[in-house]
Amino acid sequence: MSFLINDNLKIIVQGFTGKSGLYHSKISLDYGTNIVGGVTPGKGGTTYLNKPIFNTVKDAVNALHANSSIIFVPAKYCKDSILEAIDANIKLIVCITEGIPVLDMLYIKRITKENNVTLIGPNCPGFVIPDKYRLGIMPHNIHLKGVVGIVSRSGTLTYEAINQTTKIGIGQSISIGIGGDPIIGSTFIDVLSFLEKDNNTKIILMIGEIGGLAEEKAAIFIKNNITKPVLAYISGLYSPIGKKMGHAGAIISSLSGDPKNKINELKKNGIYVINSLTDIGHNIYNIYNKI
Amino acid sequence: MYLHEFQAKQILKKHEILIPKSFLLKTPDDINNIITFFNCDQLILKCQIHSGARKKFGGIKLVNNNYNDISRYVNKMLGNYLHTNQTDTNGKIINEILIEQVIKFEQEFYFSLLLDRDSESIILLASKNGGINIENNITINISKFKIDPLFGICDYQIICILNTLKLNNNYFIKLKLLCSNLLNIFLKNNLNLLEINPLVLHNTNFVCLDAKFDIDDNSYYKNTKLFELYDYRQDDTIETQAKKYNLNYISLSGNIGCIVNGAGLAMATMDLIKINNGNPANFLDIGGAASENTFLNAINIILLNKNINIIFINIFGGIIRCDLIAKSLITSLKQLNINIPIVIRLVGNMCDEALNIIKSSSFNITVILDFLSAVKTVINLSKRNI
Repeated sequence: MSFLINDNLKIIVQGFTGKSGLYHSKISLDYGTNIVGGVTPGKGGTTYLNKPIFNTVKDAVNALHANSSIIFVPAKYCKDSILEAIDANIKLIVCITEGIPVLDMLYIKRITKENNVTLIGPNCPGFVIPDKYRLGIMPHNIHLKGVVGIVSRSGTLTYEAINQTTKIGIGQSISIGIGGDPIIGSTFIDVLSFLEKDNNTKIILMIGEIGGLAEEKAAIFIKNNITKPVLAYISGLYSPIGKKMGHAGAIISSLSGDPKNKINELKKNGIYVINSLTDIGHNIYNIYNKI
Repeated sequence: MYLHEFQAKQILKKHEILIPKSFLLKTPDDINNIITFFNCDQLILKCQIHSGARKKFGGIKLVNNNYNDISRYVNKMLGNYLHTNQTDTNGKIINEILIEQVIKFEQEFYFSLLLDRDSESIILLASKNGGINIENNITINISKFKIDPLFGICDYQIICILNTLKLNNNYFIKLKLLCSNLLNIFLKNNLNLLEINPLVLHNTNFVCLDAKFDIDDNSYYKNTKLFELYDYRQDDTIETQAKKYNLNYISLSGNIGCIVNGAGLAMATMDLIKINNGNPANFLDIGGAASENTFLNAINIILLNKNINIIFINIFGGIIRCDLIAKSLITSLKQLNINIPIVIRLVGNMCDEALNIIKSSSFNITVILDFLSAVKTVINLSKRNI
């Protein structure tokens, strides 16, 4: 995951010429992100936002030495796009697309591991290192360079947390949305171990939600491996059982996913749990003044 | 997406897996046909609803194969609602009854395949104690096998499953065939869960007495025919309407109508209202790809719930642009006649432009930028309006 803070990210956008691809690439370019080109089958040879478009990822990699990709293609073509990027030796993939079948993710996850590729997402807002990179769809004007490393399963809650940490003047080292699907590329544990090593991160904020056991696993990992202060927030406390709350992964089933269990497990392992979303800034301010 | 038992069993049958002889009853007029169709003493009547625990709540009955007995239960079931511990208080409507011959069996087992998010693999669960409610019996002896879709279910795993089920190796071929057929169904149809409970031994053959299939909603584009099977009559009526507009909607019991972008923020909004002693009427995530009609649809959907006395709109613009949200809201309000208060909180992408659009409109919309203040205002207004 340390690839994220690489100073030599050369980024291509798969689905560059689509509505969202173009809109967000423009914002990212203005933010200073090193997007070098795009891939849209059939549009090779054309130019958008002054960047060259290629028919295949391989062509783009050969011509531009790209090492990273942001994927905006529709769900139907997404598995193919991820596999194409891996085959072309891309090492960092940020997949924004929502709606990839879980079974497909099972295969994709294995191939990313075999090829040592960092995949963020799918169904995620990407990540931002303030004043440096914006890969994805986060609002660009809420960030402030600082010391809080934010990792979250929800896009909009990442923005809330960024907004609050900016307002109190502490800011973010990096904000990463890992996505709301049941099976995702980089997990809480992957990002937490990265944040532990990242010198710019002094405080870690983890935003979880109902569904699965990711927060429980992270709680034990934090206790054993993380020395920096960690705060957590869990959404969906009042969700009805068995209903899917928007995210494919947000469901309380009889097997796992109960938010109360997550909160207990976090507290048991010494992690400070923020009860109300609007208290994030205030709580981080208190911790910041102690370190 | 859940299938009904009879739909799942049709798929099993197509894959040459044994199921009991059955008749799907949709109208009491069919009762006469049933008696001759079966030619046996007793039958099982099974209500077709999207819920487990049917037996415990009277949705499954053993009856004698004669007109009076059958019609007595059919009239009780058909067209009525069955409430279980897995449904809401109204229960689910019974539009079909699956009528099956009684299978005498030597042993009953539990068998399931599921996509396990936590181990990121396919898991096969088997137990020699079938017929039980597996969720409430974690203590019973369930064996877990990790299945690699690349290799399928290996021979050594079949032997392990035989051990679990306390069956001798004479059943190896039959169990292997059953397992590979079930895995094929699981993979081909993108299932999250395939559960056979009970799986029984009848004259040394494996027979599926019940079947529960849950299909991954994301696989819609791969298998649109399968999704046509979905029985919308099983859903909350408002939830069904919302699905048609691509809105993630869930009914709740309160009076504050919520329209939020993003699943996480929608959940957190619900939580924050609850923590501050308010009551949300719904969960609604308009998603990241809101169009011009999104607000018209969203407002129409939440207003189907007559308990609502205030609308709270909470938007943090990311992929979604706040100015487009504001335009969509104003356009919708021009077409609707809304006489309850609207409170909106807008932050993020193009929010200054959005605020100008709202302020310059003629509608009485309360704009509050601070999340907590907005929630508190909404709760106060919701209580004043009761």
